[in-house]
Amino acid sequence: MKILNSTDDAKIIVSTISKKALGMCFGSLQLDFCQQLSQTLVTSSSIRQYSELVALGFWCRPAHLQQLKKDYLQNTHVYSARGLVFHITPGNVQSMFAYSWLLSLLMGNQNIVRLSSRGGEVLTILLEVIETILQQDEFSVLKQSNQFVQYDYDTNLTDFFSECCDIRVIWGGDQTIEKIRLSRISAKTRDVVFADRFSFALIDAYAILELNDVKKDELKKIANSFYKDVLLYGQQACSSPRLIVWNGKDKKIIERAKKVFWSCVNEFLMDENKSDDSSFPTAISNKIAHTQFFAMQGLSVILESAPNFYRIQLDDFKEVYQAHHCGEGLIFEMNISKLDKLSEITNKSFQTCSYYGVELQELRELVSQGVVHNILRFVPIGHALDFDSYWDGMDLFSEFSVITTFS
Amino acid sequence: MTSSMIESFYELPIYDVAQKEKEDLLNNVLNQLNHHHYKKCSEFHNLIHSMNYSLTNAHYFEHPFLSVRLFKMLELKSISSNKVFKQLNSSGTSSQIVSKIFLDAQGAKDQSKILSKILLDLFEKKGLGKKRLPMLLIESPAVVKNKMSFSARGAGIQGLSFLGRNHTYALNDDMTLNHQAINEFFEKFQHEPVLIFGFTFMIWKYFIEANKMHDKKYFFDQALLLHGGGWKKLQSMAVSNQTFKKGIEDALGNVSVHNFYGMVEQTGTIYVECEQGYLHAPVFSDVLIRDPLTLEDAGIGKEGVIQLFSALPESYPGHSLLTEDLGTLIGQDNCTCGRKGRYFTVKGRLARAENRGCSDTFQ
Repeated sequence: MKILNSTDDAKIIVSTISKKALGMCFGSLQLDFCQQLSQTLVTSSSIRQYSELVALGFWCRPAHLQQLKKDYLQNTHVYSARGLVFHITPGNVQSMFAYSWLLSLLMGNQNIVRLSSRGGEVLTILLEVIETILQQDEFSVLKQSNQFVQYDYDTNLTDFFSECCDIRVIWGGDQTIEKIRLSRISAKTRDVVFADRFSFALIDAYAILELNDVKKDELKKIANSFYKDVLLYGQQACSSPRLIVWNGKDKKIIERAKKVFWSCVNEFLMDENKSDDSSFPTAISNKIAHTQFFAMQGLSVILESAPNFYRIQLDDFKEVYQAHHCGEGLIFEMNISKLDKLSEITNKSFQTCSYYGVELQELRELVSQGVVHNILRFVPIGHALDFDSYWDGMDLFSEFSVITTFS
Repeated sequence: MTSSMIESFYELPIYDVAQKEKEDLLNNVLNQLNHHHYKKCSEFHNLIHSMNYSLTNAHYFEHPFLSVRLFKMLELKSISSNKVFKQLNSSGTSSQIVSKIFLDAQGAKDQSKILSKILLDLFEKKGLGKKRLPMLLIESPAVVKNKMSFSARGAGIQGLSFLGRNHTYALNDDMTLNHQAINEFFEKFQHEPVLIFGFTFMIWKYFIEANKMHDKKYFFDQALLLHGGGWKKLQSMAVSNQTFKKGIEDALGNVSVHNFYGMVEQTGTIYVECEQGYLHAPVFSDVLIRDPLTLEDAGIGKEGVIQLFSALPESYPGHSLLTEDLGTLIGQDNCTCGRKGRYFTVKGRLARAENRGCSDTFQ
């Protein structure tokens, strides 16, 4: 990682990269690199405690990438590298940049990755792993065509990289995106933006009660899956559920299902590690402030076994609530009597719906018939945080490449 | 409710009421304030209902508290808009969002009265008498120019100014030393008691360090230096309270240095550092430390989040606030400085408080 202080430093970075040729889509060099990265992240004992890094390692394992390669290369069109990709990465989920960077790398692009100056433990470890692998002779080409940089907020440097790049990747929030967009890109350059997103869980009340009657273990598994979806990144990831939509015709049934579900969730106590995390008291203080804000709006609040979950019941969904959601275990809850009522909740910033107890086919029909809009991703509960090359409604392999057609 | 409740505190000695007795007095007022704000402030009313808090006449340690951050998110007041006499704004440190505090005429009067009582008590204990002192402000005059809406710095200066006379600003508008003003002040008042006031970081950076660079010293015969605003910036420069005091001694001679802790959300009731280096709760207010994870009363000796009670806030619901600062309760009624009541230390703000947005930007 290089710390840049001036445009001259930035020019050196760009000229180093531009001396190298573009790679091949899913070229063996990149696949070899990913394999080593995967192996280190999955097997290293010192990394085991960072579940987000293990997840990244699992994602870039050879079997998965081979499958992706097969899917893409079977296409009649030919995908090839676009050129220089400038990535501006987020500070809230430290390992997130790696996914979009790896996708871009797999497509054969050259990359400049601007890392959050806020840094963090996970980021430091991940960078160390990446840079160690890139030190090997066989990866010297990749090392030169993939540059990790850090600089204090400086419009000049962002201007310069924006002018040079062929694709600019901006991880939000919305304000960051707006600010970065003030730096011009050329007519042929494409912006790939990951804006603020809001995600939710959709749970069928009857299905929960049924589990409670016959399959207690399964219920515990569902509760645990939800717990992990919420708290793995402190509920800060764009796909972390922040709302539970309860589906059920009868309000009493929903209330019973909630009771059963939450008593199960409460059995999973906060990780031992987490209480040592110095930012944890901040998280609680944050959560109190925001919960009291909602209480002051007259919304009813339920505090589950502190300090894990604070629940807030909504009758209707307003964007102001969305804006004041602080993560950290704050959960909105809403009831719907049937699935097409989802259309009254979602807006353009919605992303993932992690579901339990509802028919995927029914959801598919609601979307394809244009009844429900704005949900970009349905995954079974417990998989909210699994990264996919289709993200935020985009096919990232297409975004990071050019497509040539032959006819 | 009338202001007489607070006025009944006016005649009490600031630091001579033992904790138990003080709790009884405060309990009475804080319970009334709960009911008052419940009636007058719809947000407070909603909060009590939504969170299932009850307003029984319990001890105030059991009362609901408001996160101090709420004053940045909402305009909370228990008076109608036409009764607002003065609006105070905090200086947003880690974000641009500021707290907004609304005072009516009575509230503004009460807070300045109580502030002056606390400080005059200190003057007296220091043998400086009970009169206004020549006052050197380690500030530029620019900071108090906008009288309509005060920043915390502006409000702090204005709040304290009436304790002084011959107000002299030690800094120019560009934060450089105004040597001429300082020299004139020094020549005129070096042999009598003077009051020096400023914000901790500003004093260090623009006065102590700047004077050191110019090799300037001003040894006053008898001076009291009051400073507040937090240690965050100095901590990052590894300047401790001890180093700070030493720096001041080197530059100003035999000066008695007192830090104070307070916030715009509870203006008036400040917590002044005693001779032993501890912050003391005056009779108008109290402090409780809560475990940062469970929020239970952390008792004496254990670090936690600071909760502050004040009998003052009537025009806005700020009588029981959970701050975002960490501190430790040292004891009660037994500080060797002789002051009664609770005393504590402040460590600083919670790590990255209010900066963990859902979609944090990288800047």
